[in-house]
Amino acid sequence: MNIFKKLTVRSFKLNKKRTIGTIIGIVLSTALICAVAGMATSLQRSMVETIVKDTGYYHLKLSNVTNEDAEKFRNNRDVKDVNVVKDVGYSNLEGNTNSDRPYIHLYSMDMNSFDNMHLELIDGRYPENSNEILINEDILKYSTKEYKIGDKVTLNLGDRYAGEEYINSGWDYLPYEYAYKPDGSQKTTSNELVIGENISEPQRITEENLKVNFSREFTIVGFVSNNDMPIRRISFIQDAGFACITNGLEEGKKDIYIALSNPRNCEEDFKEMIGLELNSGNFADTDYVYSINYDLLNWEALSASDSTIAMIFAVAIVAIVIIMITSVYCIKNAFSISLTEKIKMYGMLSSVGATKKQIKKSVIEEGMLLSLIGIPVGILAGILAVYILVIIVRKILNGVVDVEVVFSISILPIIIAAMLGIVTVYLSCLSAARKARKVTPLEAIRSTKEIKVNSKKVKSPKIIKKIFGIGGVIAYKNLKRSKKKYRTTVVSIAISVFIFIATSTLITYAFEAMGGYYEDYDYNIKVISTKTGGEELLDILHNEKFEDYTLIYGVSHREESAFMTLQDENIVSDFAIEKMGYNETDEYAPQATVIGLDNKDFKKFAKELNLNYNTVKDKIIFNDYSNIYQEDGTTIRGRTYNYKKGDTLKGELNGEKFDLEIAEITDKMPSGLEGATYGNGAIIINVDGYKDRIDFEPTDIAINVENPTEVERNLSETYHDCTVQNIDKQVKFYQAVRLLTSIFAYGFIVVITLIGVTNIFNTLTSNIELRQKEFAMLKSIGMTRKEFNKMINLETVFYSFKALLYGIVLGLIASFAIYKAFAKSLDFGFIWPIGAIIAASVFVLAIIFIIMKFAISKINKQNIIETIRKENI
Amino acid sequence: MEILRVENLTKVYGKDESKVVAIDNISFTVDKGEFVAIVGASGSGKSTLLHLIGGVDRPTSGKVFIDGKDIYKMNDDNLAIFRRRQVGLIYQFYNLIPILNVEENITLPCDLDNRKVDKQELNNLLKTLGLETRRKHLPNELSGGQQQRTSIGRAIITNPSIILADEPTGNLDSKSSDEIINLLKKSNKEYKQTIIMITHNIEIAKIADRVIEIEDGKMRK
Repeated sequence: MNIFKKLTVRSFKLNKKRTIGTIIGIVLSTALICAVAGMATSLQRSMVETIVKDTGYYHLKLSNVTNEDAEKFRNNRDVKDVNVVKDVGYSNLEGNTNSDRPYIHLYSMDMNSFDNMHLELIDGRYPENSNEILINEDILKYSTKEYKIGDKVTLNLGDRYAGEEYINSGWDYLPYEYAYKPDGSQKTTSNELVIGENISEPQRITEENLKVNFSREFTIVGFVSNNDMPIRRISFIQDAGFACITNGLEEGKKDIYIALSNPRNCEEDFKEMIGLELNSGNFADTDYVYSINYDLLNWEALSASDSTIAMIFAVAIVAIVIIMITSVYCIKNAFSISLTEKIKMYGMLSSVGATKKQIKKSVIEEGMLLSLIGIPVGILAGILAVYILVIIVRKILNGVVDVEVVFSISILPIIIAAMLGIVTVYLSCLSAARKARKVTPLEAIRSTKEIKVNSKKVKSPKIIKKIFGIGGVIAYKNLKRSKKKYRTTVVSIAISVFIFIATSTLITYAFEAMGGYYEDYDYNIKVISTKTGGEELLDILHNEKFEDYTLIYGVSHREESAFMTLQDENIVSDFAIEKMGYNETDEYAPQATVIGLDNKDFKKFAKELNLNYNTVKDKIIFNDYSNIYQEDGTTIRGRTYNYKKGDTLKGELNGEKFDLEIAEITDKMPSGLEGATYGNGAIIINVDGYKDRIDFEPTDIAINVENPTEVERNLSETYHDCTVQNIDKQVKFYQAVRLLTSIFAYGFIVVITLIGVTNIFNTLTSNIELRQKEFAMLKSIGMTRKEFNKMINLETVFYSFKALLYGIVLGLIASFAIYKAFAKSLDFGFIWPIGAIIAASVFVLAIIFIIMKFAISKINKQNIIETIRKENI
Repeated sequence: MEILRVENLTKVYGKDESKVVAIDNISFTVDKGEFVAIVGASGSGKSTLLHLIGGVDRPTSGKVFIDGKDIYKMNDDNLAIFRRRQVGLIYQFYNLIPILNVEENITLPCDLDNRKVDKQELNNLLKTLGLETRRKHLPNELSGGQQQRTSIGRAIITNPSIILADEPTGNLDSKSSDEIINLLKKSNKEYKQTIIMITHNIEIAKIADRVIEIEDGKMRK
């Protein structure tokens, strides 16, 4: 075996810790890149399948095309599939008692469409000719007559008319319609059928009738569910007829659903097939009546014109860049350390006659050898990670949201990860190789490189000796004289801290951006009073004995005004004047909405805001934040008024004058009003304290129950002076989204941190090992263990603080840059990443402390003389 | 026959106030088969001279010819190749590669050249060095004397034009020292190996055919 290979393999075996540390670094970064790529492909696949589940697999729908056209498209080589659906007509069905859906709406599909559109049968088989029919099982619910497979039904198929007016296919039975006056203006809706636009005399027709075109006898061969996707797709929600399917009556004009073979070519294909230029903005290019399945196209072709896709691309790329920076740095460091440990050996080889090229080649080969192990393991780990994540996501979203979550790894992300991994390692060992080349034999022979000292006289301040003893003095001089040695340590810690803070900020802003949409709700049923007085809400609470609820009061509708007039001078903020259209010289004083909470709920709200209930119960909480959506597409947040915490608000409400001390200014709202913004300000006040001065009435209840569906039905049926909203599904959805985002975001940070920690571990342990002789010598001349520990601790403190400082400053700069980037669309003000800074500092100090302690204990255990004598094996 | 010629060799470190003239215009020649000892006080420049001869360091001015070749006309890579074939270096502190065993350390110059070592030759060498039973051991499993013998083996396996030894016995006890000196003598007498050895021990210097004295960077005539 080549001598260099031998040396490389041997040194791996002997310095296992270093080797493993480096390999772990490579594995982590490759795994991370692979995982990010794998998540992207899985996401794409999942979105495509979700959409297909909903819409079916088609890209272009053409309505009312001829047989020739259908054939022509079918034979087009760019077309993968054409599904044909023909609307045959409506018919009555014997025994149907459903007054809103008295008809059968018959469709005919060609044979292969049944499979392609995934039509699911509850029973039976697909119809094979035009004498066979699939009946919609919902009909059975409403039919007095029992229908079974094999029964024969006669359908009189035709079109619906209201008098002489043709009723479009798919419309409700006796639908609500607007009546239009000859001048085009509307009259209001009526419960009777009124058809026609711009008619001279509004007509009112109260009956529709069927004009039969032909009769036919069908044999029932199967049943379909009304909820089956294909059925839902081809039929209409409030259609007057239940969709039933036959086969073979596709003559005449029909609808076709075209699936392209290569969705990426859609622009060319559409132009060629129907003359449509997708991006010309000219929709009238073609004579065909068409509808494009944009969602599917965008996700299949990964078109960046969809803003969601574009955003995900951006996030993925940013993530990969962060990963690469961190890994290049970490791996580069690992190789540099490995080189430093072997400098003597390289110098020796050089003195014995190794050429610089040979040495450089050896270093690079070492890197490649490590990647040979690290990269495949990393890729496997990445794939495994994606697989596990997919399972977790599926579990979380199950039952909450109707999406398909699919694991999909194509060869592309694997290749990308491998290439990026190799590139990363290659770049890393290139710099080490360059350094190795420069090693002269003399340096090795004399071991002089280690002692590159600044000959400047270094005087240590007396205070160091006083507090830290001689150990401290040595530590100080060490730091001052051999700055270069510590630079790597300081820089690697600083970079880890910087990346941590930057990524945390990124995530914070991402959450803020989502914040408006995905608030944390603690209830799932909302009841809103629709009658003045709101007494029914109190009845509900009394009767149903709910325990977990918030009751919201407002000023009674019996009163003249629900708004408190603000009587303070110059109270409107510049933000309100400039951005919200408030007029400085408006003769009307501004008015704020009054919201009341009883003792229990006011206490709860106060607690949320970290206020002491007892001190604030007579005061008010004021929320005058709003998000203003501007013309240029950005959203900014600001306050309407200039009130500060502690100010007294002078107001007048329905004749009464108030002096209300502001306990807190917040952008939060009490439970039940999350996300609501009151542009004129919201005064949240304790009902029990002010009920003799303000006439309150209950307006909403926000309730948290375990069985929201039942409760919703029960309340709707029992109480009629209110509206009941079941937001359970919404809440669960928001929670799921938050959870998912958290998992991804924090998972990402954890891995990046791991890479950083590996880095720090490598650096610190190497530092210690390289100086073993020095330590042993210090001990041999009489330094006690205590003094020795102090010296090491001091050094650690010095450079970790330095590193933290650099890292935090860099992190703050990055945070500001991220804020600016987000501020382009959402400007909520710069948020200081205090949490991240504290977390990073604590974490870094803890890690360093632990590693150093571990390393020192090892040193303390060693025999002094043996250390001085031995080589750095 | 002349195997080494040193012409006006000068080496200066630093500049201006901190200028140190380590070697000051030294010239001499060595014939093939000679055993030359270089003596001088500590800091007189002996090691520097040796390194310059071996092509391990570059002079400020002057020339060095080994076997007729002006070694400082070569670039670094060619010099390295030349060195592994034509120069054997032995140091005071052995400088073996800690992760290679005795055998591997000895064959190192050949391995760098991708040249196969004759098994018979290697065995003979190990026998001569008294390291047969130690051939698979790592340096940290050897005594000082054994380590130094390994160094010597590494230095002579390629039959170099010239062997340079820098205080080879400086780190050894008297018995080991004797072993080493005997080996070198043997190499010189039996295999006609040219040896230039630095020592500050007058006794050892007596073995040599010729003694060059260095003082303050200059040769003492």
